Amino acid sequence: MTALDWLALPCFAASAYFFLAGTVGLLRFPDLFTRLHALTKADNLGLGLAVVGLCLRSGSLAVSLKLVLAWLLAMLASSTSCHLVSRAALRRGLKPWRRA
Amino acid sequence: MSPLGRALDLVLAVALPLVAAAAVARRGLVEAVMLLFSLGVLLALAWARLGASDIAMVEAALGAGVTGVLFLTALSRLDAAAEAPRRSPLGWAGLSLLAAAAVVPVGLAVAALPRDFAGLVAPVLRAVPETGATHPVTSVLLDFRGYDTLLEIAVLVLAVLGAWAARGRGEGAPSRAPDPGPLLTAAVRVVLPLSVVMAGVLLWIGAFMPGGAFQAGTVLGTALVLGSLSGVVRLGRLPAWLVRAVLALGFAVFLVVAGGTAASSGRLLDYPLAHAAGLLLAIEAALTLSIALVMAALVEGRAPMSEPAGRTPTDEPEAAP
Repeated sequence: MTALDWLALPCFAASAYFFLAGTVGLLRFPDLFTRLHALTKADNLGLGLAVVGLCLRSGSLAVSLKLVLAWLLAMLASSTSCHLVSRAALRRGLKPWRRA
Repeated sequence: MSPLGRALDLVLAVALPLVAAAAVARRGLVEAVMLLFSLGVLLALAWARLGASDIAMVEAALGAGVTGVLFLTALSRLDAAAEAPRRSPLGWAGLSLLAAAAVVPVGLAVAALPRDFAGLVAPVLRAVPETGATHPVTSVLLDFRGYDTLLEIAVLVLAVLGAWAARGRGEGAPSRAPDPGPLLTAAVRVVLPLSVVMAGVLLWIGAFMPGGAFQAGTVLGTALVLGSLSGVVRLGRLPAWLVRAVLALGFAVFLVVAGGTAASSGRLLDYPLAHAAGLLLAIEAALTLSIALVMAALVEGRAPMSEPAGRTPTDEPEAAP
């Protein structure tokens, strides 16, 4: 393994951690809004870290730029759909969860 | 194969039938559609794992995109909390029988293949230089089995005609979201031009890399659907003749080329080598536009109205009966 591969390793480990955290949040959080929060925030960070790791391993600027573009588009899509889902839920009268 | 690749394949092999079965068994229709979305994503991954990146791209855009949107659009016209009727044991038995009727012959056919059969890879690769494209998938789609592809685009156009016939002219609620909101509008305005560029790239590289008319068409079509659902693109504003012309364009260009080759060489879709690359590009460009508009038209669901001059089409709310 080269030095870049070693640098990429912690990125992948952190990425996996954030994806796992997002998934646990999706399964365990009490209502739609908190679940969306867990999913979009943690997954976007997890994807970003995976992209950083892949960029380090790709060894090509063109490939890295495409990977970063994919990450930016995924963030755009996930934040927009998160907004739409939560707005639709609010309009249907779903009350955000409060600690009892 | 790496152990990680094996593990991924195993997850896919287990998840695919499970998700498919859940999509059929779920009675909540919205959940069933969401499961269908997931199935599309998993299928795209499976195709990518099999090295079929062309199909993976189409599956991601169609299976995980447009098909789901079509179902959701249909659902939005039904009751939102609609449930499928409870299936009787007899219904389940019939369903299982149908599934077995599809799966068993395919399994038998696969089992009957000779073990040392190398497939058609070598003959296909040998014949690719005669086609004007260097990407084998494009050669197969537009040359070796060009007749199939010709009929496929005809079927797509027929599907739109069927949808129009079923929905009538300009009837029913517009499929556009009533209030897309500033965030969706802004996001779509970023994604739309990128999608057009992406479709252009896919169309152009299709001659020598994974890509081509179906991939470009699905990307452009998804963009059109997204645009019209968010109200950024108003297909209803286009003149009706233009919509009809672009819908028919792919089939028409393909048919003209087929007729031309049949007349000049006596063989249908046997492109003269000197012009093959240009002809393929012309067919693919026309197919891309038609496929994209087919998807948008299917989601829109209504035939464009040929309005007399002076009236704005389709945007005004329907008069209540």
